[in-house]
Amino acid sequence: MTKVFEVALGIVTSIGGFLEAGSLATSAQAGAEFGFQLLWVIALGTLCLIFLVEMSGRLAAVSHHTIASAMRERFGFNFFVVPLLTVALVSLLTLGAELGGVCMALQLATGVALQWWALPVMVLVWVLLWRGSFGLIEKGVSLLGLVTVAFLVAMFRLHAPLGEVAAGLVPRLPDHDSGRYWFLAVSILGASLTPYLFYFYSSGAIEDHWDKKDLGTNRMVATLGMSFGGILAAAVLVVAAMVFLPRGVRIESYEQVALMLIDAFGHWGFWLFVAAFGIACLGAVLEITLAVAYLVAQGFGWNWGENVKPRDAARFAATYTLALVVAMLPVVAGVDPLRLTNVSMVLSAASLPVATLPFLVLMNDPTYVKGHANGRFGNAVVLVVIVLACVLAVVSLPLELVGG
Amino acid sequence: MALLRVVMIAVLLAAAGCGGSGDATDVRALASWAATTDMVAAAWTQHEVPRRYSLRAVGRARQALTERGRHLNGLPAAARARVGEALQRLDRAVAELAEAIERGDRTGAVPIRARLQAEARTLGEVAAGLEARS
Repeated sequence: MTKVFEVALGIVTSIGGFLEAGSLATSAQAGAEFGFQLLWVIALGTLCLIFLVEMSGRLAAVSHHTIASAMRERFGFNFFVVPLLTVALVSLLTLGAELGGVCMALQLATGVALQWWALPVMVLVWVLLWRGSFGLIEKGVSLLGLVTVAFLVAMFRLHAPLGEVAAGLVPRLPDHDSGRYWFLAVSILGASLTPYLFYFYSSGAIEDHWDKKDLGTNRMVATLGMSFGGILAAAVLVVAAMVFLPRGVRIESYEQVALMLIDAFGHWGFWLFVAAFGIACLGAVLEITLAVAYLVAQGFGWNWGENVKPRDAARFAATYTLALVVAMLPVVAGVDPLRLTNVSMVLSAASLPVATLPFLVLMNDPTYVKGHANGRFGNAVVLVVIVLACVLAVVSLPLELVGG
Repeated sequence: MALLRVVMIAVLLAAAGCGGSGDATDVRALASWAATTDMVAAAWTQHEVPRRYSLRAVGRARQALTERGRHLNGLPAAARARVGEALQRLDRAVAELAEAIERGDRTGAVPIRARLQAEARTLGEVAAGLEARS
């Protein structure tokens, strides 16, 4: 019974923690500009994410190593410094975007400019990390994140044409604005496969003392939790397609996205959006901050752990404090959070090979995963999607920047 | 690797195909902001969004319209004139909407919606014409 509860809780928290500024913004933009045409990218990204998350948990459960510590041990520090710097920089940028998302939610709710919220939000996050446990961060905020199910409810309240939605799952070339189409496709892949996610997941598995007995739980949570999470991202796209596309609204600002649930819920729609967006971004801020601190601490061999008192892991705590301060700067400087989100999602996609290919090597090394190495299918899916995302990112980012 | 080459070529060809549509994109963005302002006005008049949010959203729309409006020099003369006139009317309508929201005058905001919708339609038509030409 305890096992069933553990699996259910894992799945529920995965669903509640799935949406964040990146997936919400890119899905809304895709729906508003291309209707259901880009749904297949969400499906592809979610499939790849299931494999990557399952691998992260399996590595931790079998080898009792996080991805970062195993990578450092297997390849040496001189090699590891490349993924370390790449993932840390992209994660800091993503952290800035998510922090901006929380501040934007507060701006939407109060009318007070988002710059004013940067410091209070940073302090709140810092206190939660300093005083809270891993369980609180992982489960508490993710359970609150279940409010994002509102997007799925909205999809049904708007009577989405399910046949057309299903047709969007079939990959196709765009019928207009090709450059923009591919840029959004890459942004969606970057949002689905942000590297911090699987680095965080493997550290979480070690924090929760997983071993081989947890492999079944890991598989269930990765498959069901991420699948349902992917359905939520798809629901955002579908609702945006039904609300914004017929009116000719293209998303350039979060003020526009805030209107997306009003057709389905009326007065409550605005507040549901604000709550869903704010909580989703807050959850992501907590996870990314921890992920950066995990990565750096594990990379340098320092004491680490959210369940360890800060005085016993002082450099770990100092790292997340510094990460929060750095990530706050673009918000205070007035950088548009949506633009920051778009750029960080594409850079996430571009960084995937550096962050993931050494991880794939580990997952095929019996020294670490013993008899639980990857199958050919898992290797192939991850490899193809990651290289595809990277190539598209490298090509589409300059095109988007040139095209404005 | 062959698959990657095919994808690269497809993306580059597709991108090349959308060259020259930058002006249409700008006009389409103007139409989008006109439609957004109408959505905000509709939601505000029906008590679905708070006043402070509505004011900020309308302010953001005005800022976007001004910024985008500066990049229309590359448009053909006839389209530029039509967009310029529409933008002037739109700017007046958005300013009046902001004043109505400031005053809390929901009844006064209702007729402004028709003007916002008309300008969104005009700009959308110009954008469609430019897209057809490119």
